[in-house]
Amino acid sequence: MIRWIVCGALALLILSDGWNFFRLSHEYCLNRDEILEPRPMSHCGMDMDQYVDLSNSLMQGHGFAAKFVTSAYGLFGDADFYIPETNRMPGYPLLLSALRTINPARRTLLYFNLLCYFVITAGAGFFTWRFLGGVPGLVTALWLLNNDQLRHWTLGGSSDIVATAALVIFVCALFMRRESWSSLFLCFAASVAGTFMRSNTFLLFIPLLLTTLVLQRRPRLMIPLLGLIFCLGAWCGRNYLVSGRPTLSTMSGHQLFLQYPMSDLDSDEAQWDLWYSGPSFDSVRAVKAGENVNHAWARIDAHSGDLARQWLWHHPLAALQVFSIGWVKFFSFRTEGWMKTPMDFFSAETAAVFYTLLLLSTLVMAVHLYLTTDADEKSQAASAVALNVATLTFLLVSAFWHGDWIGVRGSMEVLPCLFFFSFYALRIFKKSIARHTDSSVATDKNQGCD
Amino acid sequence: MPKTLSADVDWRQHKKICKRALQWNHECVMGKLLLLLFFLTSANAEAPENVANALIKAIFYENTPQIHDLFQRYPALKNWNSGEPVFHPLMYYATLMQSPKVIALLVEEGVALDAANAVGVTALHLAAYHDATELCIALLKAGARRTPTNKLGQTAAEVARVRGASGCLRELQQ
Repeated sequence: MIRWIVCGALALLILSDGWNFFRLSHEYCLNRDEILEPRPMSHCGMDMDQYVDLSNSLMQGHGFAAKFVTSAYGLFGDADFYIPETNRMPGYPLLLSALRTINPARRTLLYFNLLCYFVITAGAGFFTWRFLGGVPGLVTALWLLNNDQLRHWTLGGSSDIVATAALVIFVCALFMRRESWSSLFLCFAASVAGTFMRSNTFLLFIPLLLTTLVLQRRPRLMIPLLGLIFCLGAWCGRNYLVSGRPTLSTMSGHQLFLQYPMSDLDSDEAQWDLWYSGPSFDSVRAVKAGENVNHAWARIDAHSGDLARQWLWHHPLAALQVFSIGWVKFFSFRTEGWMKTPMDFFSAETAAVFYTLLLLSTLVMAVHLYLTTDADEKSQAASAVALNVATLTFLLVSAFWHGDWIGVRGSMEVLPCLFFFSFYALRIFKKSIARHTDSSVATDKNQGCD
Repeated sequence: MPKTLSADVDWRQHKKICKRALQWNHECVMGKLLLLLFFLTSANAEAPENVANALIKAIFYENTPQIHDLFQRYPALKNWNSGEPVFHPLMYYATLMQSPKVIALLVEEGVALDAANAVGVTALHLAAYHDATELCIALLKAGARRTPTNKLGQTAAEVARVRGASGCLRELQQ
C-alpha cells in the first residue's frame, strides 16, 4: 500500500513539475511564438540572444558573423557588453537554424531541449543505478529532475543543455563499454558534438586522454589525440578568421574583479576602472567609431584578462573569501524562489562546492586504493581515482581556459559525473568500515578462542 | 579487471535499501509538493526586476519606441532602483551606450539624472571619466548637478582632472 502511495506521489511530483514547467514555458517563452522575437523577460534571454543573432546571420547567408550582440545579464549588467562570435561555437547556431527551418515556433527548440533534459536525467540516473544500485540512481535522477539550472537552460535555450547531454552520453559510453576500453568511438563522437555546441566541452578530451592513458591495456591514444588536434585547430582557425588572432581565450576575465568585496574598495585604479565600466565604454566607443566588433572585443578581452590575473596575484585572500561564501549560498539558493536564483550563484559558487566534493571523494578512493588488498577492488579504485583526477583536471583547466578564478562555466557540465563519484566514494567508505568492523570482530573472536 | 562494477551487488539487500529510500522520499515528496505550490503562486512575469531588465536591454539596443512603451506601461520604472550593487541607474546605462538620443528620451520621461551606483558614480561622473565631451554637454544641458561625489569624495570635475579629461573639465568648470 505504502509503495503505491509513494509511486503515486512521485508520479504527481513529476506531473506537477512538468505542468509547472510547461506553464512557465508558455508564460515566458512560448507565448512570444517566434524564436526570432526578442524576449522581454530575462528568463528567456541570456546567451540565447547571441545564438539567435548568429543563427539569423547564417540563415541570411552571411555566414558565422554576428553584428551586434549585447548581454544585459552580466554580473554588473554590462560585464560582457559585446560578446562577438569568438565566444560562441557554431554548433548551436547551426542547430537553431535547422530547427527554425523545420518550424520557426519557439516550442520546437523547447521540445528539443526537453529531450536533452530527458537524456541527462535518464542517462545519469541509469548509469548510477547500473553500477551503484537503486538508491543512488533514484536520488540522482530526482535531483536532476528538480534541478533549477537544467530547467533554466531548457527554458532559456542555452547551449549548455546540449553540451551536458553530450557529456552524459560520454560518461554512459565510457562506463557501458568498460569491458573494452579501446571502443572510444562514442566518447569521441559525444565530445566532438559537445565541443561544437559549447567551447568548454572541448576540454572533455583531457579526461578522455587521461583515462585512456591510465586504463587502456593497449593504449590507442591516436583517437582522442586526433580529436583534440581537430577541435583545437578548428577553434583557432575560426578565431583567427573573426578576430585576426588565433586565440584560445573565450571569455573575459574581469568578472574576477566584480567579486571583490565592496567594503574593501580603495583607490585601486584598475578596480575603479571597472566601476566606471572601462572595458564596456571603450568597446562601445570603438564600435561607434567604426571598429569591427570582434577586434574591439578581442582587444578588451585581453586587457581584462591581464587585469584579472593581476588581481588574483595581489588579492589571494579575497578570492578565498569569495570561495568560502559559495558553500553558504549553495545551501540557501532557494530563498529567491524558483527560476530566481542569485545572479552569480550557478557559477563560481557551484564550482567551489564541486571542487571540494571531488577532492574529498578522490581522497577516499586513493586511501582505499592504498589499503585494499583485493585485486579487483584495487583495479576498481584505480579506475575511479583516474576518472576523478581527470574530472578535476577538466575543471581546473576550464578555470584557466576562461581566465576566471575558478572554472565558472566548466563546472555544470560535470554535474552527473559528480553524483557518480560521490556515491562511489561513499560506497567504498562504507565497505571499508564494514570490513574493518568484521575483521575486528573476527580478531576478538579469535582472541576469545585463544 | 572485473567486467562490471555491479558484479558484487546483493539484490536482496538493495531491495531493502530501496524500500527505505522510497519511504524517505515519500516524506520529501510532500515537502516538494508544498514547495511547488509556493513556486506556482510566486511566479510573476511582470515582476519589477524582469521589466527593468527589459528596459536596460532596450537602452542597450537604443530601441526608443520600446523604452517609451515600457515607461507608458510601467510608470514606476522611472524611479526604479534595484537596491542591488550589481545594477547601475538607468541614466548610467544610457551614458554607457553613448547615446544622446536615449539620454534625451530618459530626461523627457522624467528619469533621475543624478542617480548614482553603489560606489557613488553618476552618469556625469561616467562621462567625465571617459572624457566624453558630447555626453557631458548633453547631461549638463539636461540639468545634471555638478556636486555629487563618488565614494572617494570626488566630484565629476575632479574625476575629469585626475583622468586628464580636458574637454569635459572645461565644460564642467563653466
